[in-house]
Amino acid sequence: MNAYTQVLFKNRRPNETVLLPEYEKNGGYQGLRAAMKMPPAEVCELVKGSGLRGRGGAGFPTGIKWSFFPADQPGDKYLVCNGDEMEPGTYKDRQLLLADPHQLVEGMAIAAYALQTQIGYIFLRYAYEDCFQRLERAIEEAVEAGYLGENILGSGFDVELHVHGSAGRYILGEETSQLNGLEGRRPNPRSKPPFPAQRGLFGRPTNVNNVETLATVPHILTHGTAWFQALALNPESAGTKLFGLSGHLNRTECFELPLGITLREVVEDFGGGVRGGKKFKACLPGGASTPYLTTDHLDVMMDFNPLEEAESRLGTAGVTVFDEDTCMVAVTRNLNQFFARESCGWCTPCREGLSTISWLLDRIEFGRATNDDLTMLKDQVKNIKGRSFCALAEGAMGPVEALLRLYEDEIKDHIRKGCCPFN
Amino acid sequence: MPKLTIDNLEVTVPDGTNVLEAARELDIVIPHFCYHEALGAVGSCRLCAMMFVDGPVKGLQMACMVQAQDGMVVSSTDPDAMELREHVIEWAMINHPHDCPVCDEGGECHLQEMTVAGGHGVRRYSGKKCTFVNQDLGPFVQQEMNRCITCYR
Amino acid sequence: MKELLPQKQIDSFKAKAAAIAHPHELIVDQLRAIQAHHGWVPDDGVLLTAETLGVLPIEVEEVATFYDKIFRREVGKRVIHVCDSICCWSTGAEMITEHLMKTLGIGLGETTADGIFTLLPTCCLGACGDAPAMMIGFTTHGFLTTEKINDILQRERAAVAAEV
Repeated sequence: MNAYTQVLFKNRRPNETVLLPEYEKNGGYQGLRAAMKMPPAEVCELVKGSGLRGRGGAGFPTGIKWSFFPADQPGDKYLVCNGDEMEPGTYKDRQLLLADPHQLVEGMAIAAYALQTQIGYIFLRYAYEDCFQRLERAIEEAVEAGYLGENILGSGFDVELHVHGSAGRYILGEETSQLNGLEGRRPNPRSKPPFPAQRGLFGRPTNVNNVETLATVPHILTHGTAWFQALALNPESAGTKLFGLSGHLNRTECFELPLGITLREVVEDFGGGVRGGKKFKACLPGGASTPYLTTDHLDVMMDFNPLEEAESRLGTAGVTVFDEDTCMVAVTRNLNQFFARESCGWCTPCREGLSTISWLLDRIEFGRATNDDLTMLKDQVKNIKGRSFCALAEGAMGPVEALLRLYEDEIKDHIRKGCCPFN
Repeated sequence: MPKLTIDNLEVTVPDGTNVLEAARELDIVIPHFCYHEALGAVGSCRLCAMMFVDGPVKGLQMACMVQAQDGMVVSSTDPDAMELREHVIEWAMINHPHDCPVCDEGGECHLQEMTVAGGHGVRRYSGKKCTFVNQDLGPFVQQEMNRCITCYR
Repeated sequence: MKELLPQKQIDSFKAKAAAIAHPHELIVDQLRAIQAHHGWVPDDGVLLTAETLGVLPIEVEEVATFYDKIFRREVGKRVIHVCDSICCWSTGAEMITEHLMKTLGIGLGETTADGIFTLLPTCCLGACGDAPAMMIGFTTHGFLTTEKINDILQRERAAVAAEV
């Protein structure tokens, strides 16, 4: 296995959480100090210049998102960290927070300064109670050391951070739903525009970023943009990424790897190959909403643009591998059941359309389908894609559309044989 | 006062009018559920789809959620828009009981009108329907929640 | 009925609600606090939250009924959430769910007759590297096998017995 530079995981040890003294000794809060020596707008420019893209699944360039934010607008403004990681196959944020939570605290302090937001929330999913406790302790340590609170590092700038523990449901990962959740409203999503940067939490400008995105910011401030860009194997890209491996692999662990690493190296070297000596059939490259990659894609670079060119997405880089004995109809059925059940119920295409697709995939998988059902499946996808109120249904179409594009033969086999050919 | 074209007819409307209301000025009634003049635009039912052919906004949009602007060219008869509206009403009807003959609303029912307007006829779905438990709203109101299509009107 | 929330905590929520501009913010926090103390949130829990924070009961109920980790029906002393998302499904979740149902003698959504265990499905727990996984309370258990499950259930039973 190649030994790649560790940034987010450089302090990581099994079953231990890094506390402030060790974090500082290893360079912690140098990023914050560097940031506070520049005007806030310059911090934004630096992040923009680094090429950092959102690590929560959408991959939107972080510096550009920050540049939309009205940092100079007077009055309350908010920073929200999206810690609602619930995309199946994704577990990297939990690993990051268990190992070294001060990175997030420092990242939020820097972001708060850059965007001039005095109040920050870390929205944490219910199941991450272990992370909740570690974050609260890190925040306590940071306040005591003067990195948070009033007049941080003598700058005259105040910032407070609060951790909010949620109570379930995948839709809370959608930023506008999350804002409703933070406000204590029923967390259906909101219509965009207006975007959170204009009207977010309590109607005020709000910037939402993922845990890993914010945790990367201190390192960019400490070491600079050239360093960050050189970390990637893809010359057009920048940085490292946490890859969470799962499924039919010998090693299902979370690794920090350079963007641009090939799928082959991820699967064979870091994943230790497919378990049981079986052959690789397909994988989800970045969580449940990313279209499948097949054996044709083993030499594709795992990175934002290359995967879009391969008709998929990097998403959260949660790589779930399926071996040669896996039925892709069954996989898609499980994935769609997840989305259908997690639909918040607000809009018709998601609420009813995803259930209809579940019903169709049930019929196909259990050998009760006809060719009419295959036709109906296609028109369901056509009328859900781009037609729903928020991106949940859009994400749900990822695997279903990929099934139709890559594995229509398997569907037809089920229909013709009247049963699942893999059983 | 924006001037826009809907189904090849021009109309000028006050600032702040949405395209659904603008169409109504031309006696073009776009199928809709969750929009109500007194309650505002919600955007959740997805029934009022129209194709924005030209102008500042393009593509398939929900008419109630888009403010009328100068130079917009909008079509209610675009095939993709009509296909989406047919699908939305089919989806809304999936869980609805076949109660028309015994339902009080029959004959003056917004859902019946939307079903005909959308062009939906035979239900293709033959799976289980979603059902609800009726709330106790007292002796004067009988709730029949299974007839609710959660259109958010 | 067992106490919903200790008076000290109720007072604390009341004070916090009075000190902030948007008391609705605290709805999920108080619902979680009631559940941590009482085990689940009955109708009275919804009313208590509304009264404490100065919001309408419907505003609390519409929030309480949205979240799958807020229980509006009585649950056992230990709630087992078994994951059925893709990573767990592809590494044996169906088999371990069958085992849980058989061992406990209940189906998904049900509580054992002795009132100790409730079994519920959950979506991805964020433990995909340790699949198949389940969560009991706030503790996630991974790399599950039938033997490991039997051990865990035995330990939980012993812990419940010690609590009485």
